[in-house]
Amino acid sequence: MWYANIIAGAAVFLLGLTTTILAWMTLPYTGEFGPGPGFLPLWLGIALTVCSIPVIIMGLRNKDRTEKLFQPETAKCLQVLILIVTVFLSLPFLGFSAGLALIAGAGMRLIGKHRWASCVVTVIGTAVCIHYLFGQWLSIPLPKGMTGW
Amino acid sequence: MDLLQNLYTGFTIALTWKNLLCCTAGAFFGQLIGILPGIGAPTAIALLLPLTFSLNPTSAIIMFAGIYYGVAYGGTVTSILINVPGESSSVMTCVDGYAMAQKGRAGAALSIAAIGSFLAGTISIVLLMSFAPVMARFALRFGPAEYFGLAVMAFGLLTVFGSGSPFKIIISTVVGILISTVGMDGVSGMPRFTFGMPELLGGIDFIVIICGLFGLAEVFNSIEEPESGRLIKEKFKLREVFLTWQEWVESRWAIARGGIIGFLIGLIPAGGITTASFLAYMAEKKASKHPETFGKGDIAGVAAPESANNAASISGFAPLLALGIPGSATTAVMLAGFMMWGIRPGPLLFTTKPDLVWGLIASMYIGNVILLLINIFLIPLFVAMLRIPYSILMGFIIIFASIGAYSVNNSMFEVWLMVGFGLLGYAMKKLKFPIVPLILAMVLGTLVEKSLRQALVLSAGSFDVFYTRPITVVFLLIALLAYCSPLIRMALKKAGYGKVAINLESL
Repeated sequence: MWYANIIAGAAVFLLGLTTTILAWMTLPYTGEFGPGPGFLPLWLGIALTVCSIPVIIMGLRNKDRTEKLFQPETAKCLQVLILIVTVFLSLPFLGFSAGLALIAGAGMRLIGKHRWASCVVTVIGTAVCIHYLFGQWLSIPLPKGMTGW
Repeated sequence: MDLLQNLYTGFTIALTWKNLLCCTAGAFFGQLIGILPGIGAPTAIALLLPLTFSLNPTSAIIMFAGIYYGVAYGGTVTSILINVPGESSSVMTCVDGYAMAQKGRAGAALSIAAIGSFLAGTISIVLLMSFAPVMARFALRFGPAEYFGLAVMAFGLLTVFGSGSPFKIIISTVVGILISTVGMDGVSGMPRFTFGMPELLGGIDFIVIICGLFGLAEVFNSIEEPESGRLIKEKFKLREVFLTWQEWVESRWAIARGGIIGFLIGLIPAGGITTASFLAYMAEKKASKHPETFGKGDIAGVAAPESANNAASISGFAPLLALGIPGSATTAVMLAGFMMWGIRPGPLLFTTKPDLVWGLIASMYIGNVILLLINIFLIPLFVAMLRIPYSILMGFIIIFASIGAYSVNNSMFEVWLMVGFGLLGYAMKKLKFPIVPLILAMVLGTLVEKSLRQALVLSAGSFDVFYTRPITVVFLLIALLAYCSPLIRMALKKAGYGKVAINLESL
């Protein structure tokens, strides 16, 4: 995974550099009685930038070019991520209980290829459980959608 | 006498029906979660946080503790029956536990793991009871410089006990501290890294990060790399879990040694339960008259690591309660739980909240007894749980993580942040960056910055304060040695002392 280390190192380098610049430009290094709010962030940024260099070098020196970062199952992760993001975006319409229950049911279908009937029963049962357990019993004010759940 | 009086007070608190129920529920869920793949102890505690909102702090902390050591017990079942450790601390149990199961002694392996955990856990509680107050009294001498040194030492020790590239460990640690700086600066009141978002002014809540890094990220990782293993025994009869006299004789000293090693390692900030079980296994192999039987189903090879991991999980409470320094990701989540209830662990906790501390310690005795009974009589039920497909579990992890994040501020902003941290956790695992240092640093970040700035304010900006105070010097020297440990190891290897390298496959 030589390129993974290079990508990771580069990302850390950028994060370190951005932190250093932001801390230097926007936060005072010293305060009235000693170090200011920018003191620690500045040094953290510098530490990140410095530590990213060996990671990049490790990636460049790695001779094993066979290991792959992504696998066929990565597509399933992407599907689940899309499902989560879609449901979260639709929560104002679906409501929290129904929306989260939908993730459980759709996840069963997507990943486990369970029968549709089992998935539908899971969605209904889970929505009822979330509504009563968290919404009623634990009094967490879960947002309700147009469906009232 | 004070100790016994305190313990008596603790038992009167722990034995109320509500706390007893919390302890039992925590131990049961912990055991269950330890068995289920893809949910570790920190995730379990973070996900179950919303369920404790209706409890008082003592009951909630007792429940978390039950989950914590319940997970240590639970991880064993999968190690022995399907050769897949439920927790990293159970890795060593796989070696001889699975071999025992293949020989038809799965029941005995599960039994000695439960008995060993119980006995070593009890030893550890007794030692914790005596040691933690002493540690707390010693910590009363600590000023900001000592606390800064202590936190830096804990970070440094992560490079010794953690696995993987030391640079990646340091990067994870620094990112964790950096995350803790987001929000309003405690001294000047100036917003830092909030990018104009008012939701970030209060900082990023620890629960949101845990739900993302451990809950959601684990879902993605488990989908991509499902843990697989063949269940070696599906049905158990009660008589199969009883040990023979010979098996007991072979394992009793392994339990004692494992318990003591576990206790000592658990006391070290960032020492880790996994390290304890590994060292106990190696020590037992060295002490054994038949080291060649290790790896082939030796019962001492199950008893030692299991005793050590339970003892370490209990003694890990000493630095947490007495110093306010968590030793592992799980105790870091527990610290977040303490803080959620407005309790700041540290040397004064023993005097300001004796009911909580001693109630918690007494509940550990009760929890250990409950877990022993659960492990002997409910094993068939837990084995049945192994058949639940991950596609079903996954949905429930997402539900609990989302509600956990939402309930922090009753806002969707935290839920989206949780998704972001889920992706960060997934990327970190893929790129082999350890998550535990990030969690510990995130929890201790505020303490590090506060103590660093206070120390410098008190010394009028002079750094002398860090090398003129003996305790601080010791902490910082240990930290320096720890950070240099990869270089020391490399030098030793070059000088021909490198044969001690840890190699799991060789065991």
